[in-house]
Parts: sequence; C-alpha cells; structure tokens
Amino acid sequence: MTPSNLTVIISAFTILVCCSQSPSEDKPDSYPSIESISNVALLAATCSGCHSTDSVVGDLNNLTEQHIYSALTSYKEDDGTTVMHRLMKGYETPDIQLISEYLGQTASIDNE
Amino acid sequence: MSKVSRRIFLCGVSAIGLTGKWPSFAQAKPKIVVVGGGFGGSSFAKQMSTLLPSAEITLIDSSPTYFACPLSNLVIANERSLSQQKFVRSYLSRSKVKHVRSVAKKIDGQKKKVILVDDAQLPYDVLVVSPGVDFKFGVLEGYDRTSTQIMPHGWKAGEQTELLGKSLANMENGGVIVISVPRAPFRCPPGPYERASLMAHYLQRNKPKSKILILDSNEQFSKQAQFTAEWSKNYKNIIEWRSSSNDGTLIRVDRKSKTLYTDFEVFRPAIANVIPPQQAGVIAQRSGLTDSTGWCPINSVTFESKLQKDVYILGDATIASPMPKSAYSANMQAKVCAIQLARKMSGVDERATILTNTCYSFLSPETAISIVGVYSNESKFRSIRNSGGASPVVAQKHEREAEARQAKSWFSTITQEAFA
Repeated sequence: MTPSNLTVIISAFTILVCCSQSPSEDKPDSYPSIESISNVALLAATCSGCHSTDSVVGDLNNLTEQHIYSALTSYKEDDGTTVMHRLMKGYETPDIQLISEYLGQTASIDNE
Repeated sequence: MSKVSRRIFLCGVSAIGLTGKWPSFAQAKPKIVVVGGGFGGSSFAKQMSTLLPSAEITLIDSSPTYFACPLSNLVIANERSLSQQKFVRSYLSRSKVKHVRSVAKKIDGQKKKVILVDDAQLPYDVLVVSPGVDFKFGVLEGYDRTSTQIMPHGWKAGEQTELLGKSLANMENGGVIVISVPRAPFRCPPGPYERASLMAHYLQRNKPKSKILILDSNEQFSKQAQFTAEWSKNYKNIIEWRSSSNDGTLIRVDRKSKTLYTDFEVFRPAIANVIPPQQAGVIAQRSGLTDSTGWCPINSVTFESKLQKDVYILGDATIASPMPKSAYSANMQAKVCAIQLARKMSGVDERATILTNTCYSFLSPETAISIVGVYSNESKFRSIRNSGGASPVVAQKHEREAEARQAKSWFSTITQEAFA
C-alpha cells in the first residue's frame, strides 16, 4: 500500500470518528479495517475456500481486476459445467464487478 | 490510490459512515468464547482474531488435534492414510486465541457463562457454538453406544474411520457389506454413496465376490443420477441401493449377533456400517439451542440463535437448509458470521449476502464429481435460481479426473484456512 493510500484511509477513519455521535470516544486500537468488514468482503468470503497460493484451481493473488472480471463473466455466461460455471450463475453482474475490484485491488497492493 | 481501490473503499465507508459511535462493547475487549474446534469453530476463531485483534477469544475443544471427515472415505478404502486427515490448529501459537482443552457441559444464557465438565466457568459477551452432530441413541431400536464398536459408523473421523477400514481389510472375499443411511438431514449428504463407490472400487480389486447393499431411509439422494450412472457402468452388480419405499429403512439392530432388520427382511452382513440418526451436538441439546427437530434454528444473516441471545451457531448443528451439512458450509458460515460480528462491534448494520457450498465426492480414487449451491441468506436461506447443481451425468474421464484433483486441492486449501 502506498503512503497516499494510507493517508486517505486514515483521514476517512478520522472523518468517521469525528462524525460519530460521541466524538469523545476514541477508536479502539485494533479495530477491523473498513474493507475487511465491507459488503464486498462478505461477498468474496467464499473464494478462499478453494483458492490459495498452491491450489490447482489457481491463486487469486496478483490478478488484475480486469482479468478476474472477464473470467467470472465468462463463467456466468458460458454453458460450461465446471464448479465455477455452476457457481457464477448465481451472481449478478454488479456483484461480479465488486468482487473483481476487491480481489484485483489486493493484487495491486501486493505489487506496489 | 487507484480508481479501483478508491471505489471499493468508499463503498465501505458509506456502509459504516451512517452509524453512530464505536460501541462500548468493542472498547472493553469483548470476550468471545467458541465451543468446538472443527471446520466451523476453528475457522471462526482464526478469522475473528484477524478481524478484531483486541477481542479475547477462547476456543474450547477437548483435543489438540482434529480429524477431518472430507476424504476419509478414501482412508476406509485403503487409498489414503489417516494421518493425512489429522490437523493441528497451528494458528493458535501465533494468534491470541486461547485454547481451553476441555468439554463444555452447559451454557448459562442468563448469566452468559459456559460451564465446563470440571465445573469451571467461562464468561462471554458473545458465544459461538459449532458442536457438529451427535448421534441419537435409542431412536433406532437396539442401537446404543456399544453398537458403534461392533457396527462402526465411520461418520466422525479418527478411531471410527480406522475401525471401518480394518473391518474392510479383514473381511473375507464374498462377505456382504450393509451401509445403512439415516433419514435426512444428516452430515455430508453424498457421503454414504461416495463410501459405497470407494468400497466397491476396493472390493473389485481385492474381494471380487463381495457385495454392498445400501439400506436407505430416504427416497432419493444427493448426486443420485451421477452415482447410479457410475455404479451401473463401473461397479456393475456390486452395489445395490434400496430406497425407503423398497423396504430400505433399517428399523432394528441386534448388536450381539450383528443383525439388521427392515420391515420384511433380516440381514447378517460381514460389515454392518450403520450410520446412525443424527441431531445437533449434545451441548446444543443441553442448553436449549435446539427445537423439536433436534437442530438449531438461527437468524440466517447473523447466525445468532433464535432461542438464545448473543449465542451464534455454525455448521452441521444449524438449520440452514438448503445449505447442506458440510465442511465447506461450516467454513463459509464461520467467515460470514465473523464479518457480521465485526460489523456489529463496529456499529455497522448486519447485511445479507451470498453464500456458497461446494462438495466433491470420489467415484474412484482418481475420479470425482461435485455439487455446488449458491444461496441468498436474506431473511432465510434459499438457493438462487438457475445456479448451482452437480457435475454432468455423462462426462469424459478427464473431466472426472480433473474434479478429483480439484477435490484434493480444495481439501488442502480449506484445511489450511481452518487450521493452519
């Protein structure tokens, strides 16, 4: 993560805390990151059940958003029969977009 | 910051920004107690310790190790060693999760305490119960705890897996194996049929005069078309399946003579693999977390018990149909429950999402099929239309082999996520 990323996140946290109803309360030391509890974190929670660095179905690290988006979209639209083809039929395009951004983002942080 | 990450990030902020203060709950370092260190409980404890490092998390499980059920039918068929099913929860040494090696006897929901077998008490702010299944003794006439040694179920991995594997290895050529399947719901819906397939593979090569009879208390089963196609193609005349309406329901056993009774027939097989009727783990029964079905009703979004506040339930013990009772489901539910709890503790509203399940079943040591489900948990669990389903009934060998490789890879990945 670049310093500028960090700055934006920290300032957002500051805004968040300052806007809260009880400004005197400090944010606890070890709070979950916003991303780790976001809606898309819930949506993408399933992926790590099968995908890891040494899995035969592929490692999701270091893939771009575009790569993930086009792969997931093909699975949704193609009439193939693999596990991923059957799974992706249950997701709408906006969900696929969010998941791709989220996972693709992880890759960009690792690369920076 | 890239356009991409800013969009995600803002999405997260908008979810959080509307809510009020940091709850006092979080500042007090919430005490989170987890009962049961299997796929559900262990995945949860590990995930929660990452999401909320300030929480005091205690995992209660009597054993330092865990024997995983998925792939254990390969052990029974002598294609895999039991040690490959054994896992140590190695994240415990690098996280702050405390492991209490004991058994939870009862939950006092009023005083918010877990009482252990030695009467020690563990107070909690949040309790997560992932007790797996327990067997119903006394429901099937003549079947009691001692019966499990004579008619091994092999439905909890470890000693039972070994016992059933040894019975198979020691059986004479020509011996008959009966696998009895209880009424659904039970842990691992395709498990009995995977077992029959792998046992048949073993018999074909080692005891070709032997046969397998499946006595089923149900009318249909998971991946039925795929299994039966495989049986008629590759295990012809080895496996016979009897549905409930075809006198398949086991109604009585006599363990002394290892005899099985249906309404109209009596069997004295060489191996009686009686898979007993099941219910939620005993701690859930004792603590008022189950309803008349013997399973635990839960809020589908948060996994909180409908019967006890601040108690969350994961995995096989829950009523989450159409999500099956599987390792994948338990791990999936654990991850979602941990995120929902972290949201709650951050003052963010709960949020319905999409969950999935993937279950592989081996047809032979080198070939497998799968079934997947995609579920919405909005107000109740339901399958999303036109999604999910099983592998094609007719497939090329290389496709079945690819699924077998994926099955082993899945096992390695999910056990790492849950225990490493």
